[in-house]
Amino acid sequence: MTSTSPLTRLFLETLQYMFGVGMIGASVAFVLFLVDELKTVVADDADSNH
Amino acid sequence: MPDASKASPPGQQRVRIVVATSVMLTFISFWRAAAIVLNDLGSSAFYAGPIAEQAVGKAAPWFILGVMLFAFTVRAVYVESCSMFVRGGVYRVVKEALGGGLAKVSVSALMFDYILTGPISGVSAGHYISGLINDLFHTAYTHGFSPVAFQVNENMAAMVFAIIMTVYYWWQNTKGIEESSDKALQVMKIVTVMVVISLGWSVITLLKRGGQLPPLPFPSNLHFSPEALGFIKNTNWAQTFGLFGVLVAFGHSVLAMSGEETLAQVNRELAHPKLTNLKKAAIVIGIYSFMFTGLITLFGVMIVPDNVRTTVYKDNLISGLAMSFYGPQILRLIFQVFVVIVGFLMLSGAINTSIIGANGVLNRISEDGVLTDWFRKPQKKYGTSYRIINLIVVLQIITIIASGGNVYYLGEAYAFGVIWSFTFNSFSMLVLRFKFKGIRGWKMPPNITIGGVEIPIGLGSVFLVLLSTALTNLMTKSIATVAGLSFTIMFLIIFTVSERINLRKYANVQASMKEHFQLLHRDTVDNQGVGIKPGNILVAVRDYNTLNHLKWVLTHTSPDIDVVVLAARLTGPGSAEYDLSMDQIFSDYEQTLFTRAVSVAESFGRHIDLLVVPARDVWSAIVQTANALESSAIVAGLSSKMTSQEQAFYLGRAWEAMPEPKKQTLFQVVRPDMEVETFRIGPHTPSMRTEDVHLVHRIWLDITRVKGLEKVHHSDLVSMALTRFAGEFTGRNRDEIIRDLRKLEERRAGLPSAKQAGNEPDGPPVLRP
Repeated sequence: MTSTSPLTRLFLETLQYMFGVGMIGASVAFVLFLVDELKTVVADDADSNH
Repeated sequence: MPDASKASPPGQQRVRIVVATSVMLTFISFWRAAAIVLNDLGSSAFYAGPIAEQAVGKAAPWFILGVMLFAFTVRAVYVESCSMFVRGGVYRVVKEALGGGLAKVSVSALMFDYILTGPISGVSAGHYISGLINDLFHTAYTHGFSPVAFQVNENMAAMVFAIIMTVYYWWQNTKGIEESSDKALQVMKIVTVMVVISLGWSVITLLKRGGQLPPLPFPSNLHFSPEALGFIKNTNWAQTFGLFGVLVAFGHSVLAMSGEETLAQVNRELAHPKLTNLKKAAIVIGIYSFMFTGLITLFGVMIVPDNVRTTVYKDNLISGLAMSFYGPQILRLIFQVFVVIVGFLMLSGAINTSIIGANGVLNRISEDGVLTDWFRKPQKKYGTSYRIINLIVVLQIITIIASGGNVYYLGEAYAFGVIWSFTFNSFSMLVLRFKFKGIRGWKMPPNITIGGVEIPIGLGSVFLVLLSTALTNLMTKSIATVAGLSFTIMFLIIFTVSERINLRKYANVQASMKEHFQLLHRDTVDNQGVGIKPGNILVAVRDYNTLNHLKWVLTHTSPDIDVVVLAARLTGPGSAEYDLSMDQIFSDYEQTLFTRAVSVAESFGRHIDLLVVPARDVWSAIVQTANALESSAIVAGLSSKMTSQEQAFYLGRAWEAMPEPKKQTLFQVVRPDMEVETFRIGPHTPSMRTEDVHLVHRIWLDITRVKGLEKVHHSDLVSMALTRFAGEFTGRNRDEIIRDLRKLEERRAGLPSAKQAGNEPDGPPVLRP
């Protein structure tokens, strides 16, 4: 096994943070997008029923 | 006729050309749009799971499920991208956001994605077929029907199959393939049957036999193969940095969402209200792909025993699932045959989509001056961009041979194109949030405003995930990195050199075009906007070497009838994401075409109107333009690919699909020998044969002899006969009528379907002298 240099460690930790923070933001975006999509579908169905 | 249409000699007065910039489309429902996307996206269900499992171990299904959930947010990026009113295609949009250099890199990555889609789909389909053959031989041997357990070499068979299918679709695309959303919908119906049976049977099997969930996606449960760690296989980073291991595993599963970009391509064709339908299509795609790719992979790992899943069925998991269900062997074998048929339909369709998509993208960037015109030279007989098609197919066949029929290697490489094209797209959208000030129908949530500056949290988050995954893949996917970078650099060099050659050449062409033509921009076509009188003749032109039909029209029409020369600028899939800009629509090809048309008109001392419209389907463009301009007739040359009756059939079908209000029109096909065939388009009084007229008259004579029926008219008889015929056709005599009509059609060989669209090849010609 090769040892990890401080620069490599910094790079890998940055990648981890990017992925972790991104996933948290993306999860919020996922819920809001899903709600928005469902609202669109429900509103459209209500319109067509009238 | 306004002076806008004068075809004056070059240099004296510039010829004005009306360029409509709104694409003439046949609109489709969100169900059809979802079916088209799922045809592409769903095909990865056949190979994504096993590839991920070979890389990261038994926890792979959780990552596939995670990727399918994350795909919702990538789809949201595409929804925002589609809701922006930007003209120009992928290259121009990325160029606007990130500059020319990165735009070329982005297109190169997208090309890598398209080039790899064909081989991975073909090889995967080959594995499903050869796996079935082996299972059949094995079953025959175990039941004593065969003395030896014959087995085919799966990798070799898959490779040969993939090459055959690629060559087949090369020929189809060279001829110019007819695309249809009907086909996508039909395939998805069959796939849905397979998915429902698979999910239901999986549940029954788990209830009967029990099952164990795969190990949860924790770093301790990840068992990377040496190939899966690529350049970092001699380090312990995946174990030391916990989340990094998860990131590596996620990177090995991203190819499950390949095909997502198709959503942006079908957006242009979605019916009104576009954004609502786009969101509906997105939710249908999301739920379906989650259940298909996600759940089938999960059940595959839960049901198929480890010893056969990682050996016998490592390249055809769904076949393994079919053969591991609870129930009699014959039933399982029959279901496996069904799985293979469905796999063949989806995966071979994906080969075709990859050729069409790559051809579309290269055509578009060729129009942008990034590739030289040499690539776009039309095939002599079929008019397709055969050189681009040849290049794509040659690269695909080289890829297939280089892979040796190994799906895993192909999947590894494929992920490079998928992840980088998504990353570039999300980065462009992020930059355009700050740079683009035009109309934007929808923004991906959440967004917060600090000090008057809107921070796109959702968009930024998706970009961070994609970028971190793409960078990790560079380290862990050595095959992908080497192949992807080599490919990208190769295309980058081709693009850069071509662009430089074009820059020199285009400086002269631009000057020449400005001297000869004046482009008038119109969003849509109508009489008033373009100054053309109703009752005009619309002449459809495509090939500048065959303008005989224009000559015929100019010979046979009086000068007070307007003659409109129409060129439909086709925007294929892979390029329909954005509207074309005016100079893209009126490219150098249209310039040559119209120069020839003007020259023909001048030789007759006549003036013509020139019109170019972007279109997804040439037939729709012609009928929609004719309807908008209130043309009395449409004239075309005889196609090199179809008969005049077939031309009339397709035009009639486009007419039927056109929304009201619409007017009937005539369609005239001029043969090379100047013989003309005329068809009526739309509902019209049929031309009756003499013997039919006599028959009606004879019946009328008999009926009017009956007391009380003396005043019955001929038309009453026809009306009653038709009403009764309609009743019988919708009743129990339908099959008999269809049989009789088929016999009639067989007798009339060579006239396959012109009648179906309400067109007849026997109407009176209108343009006779």
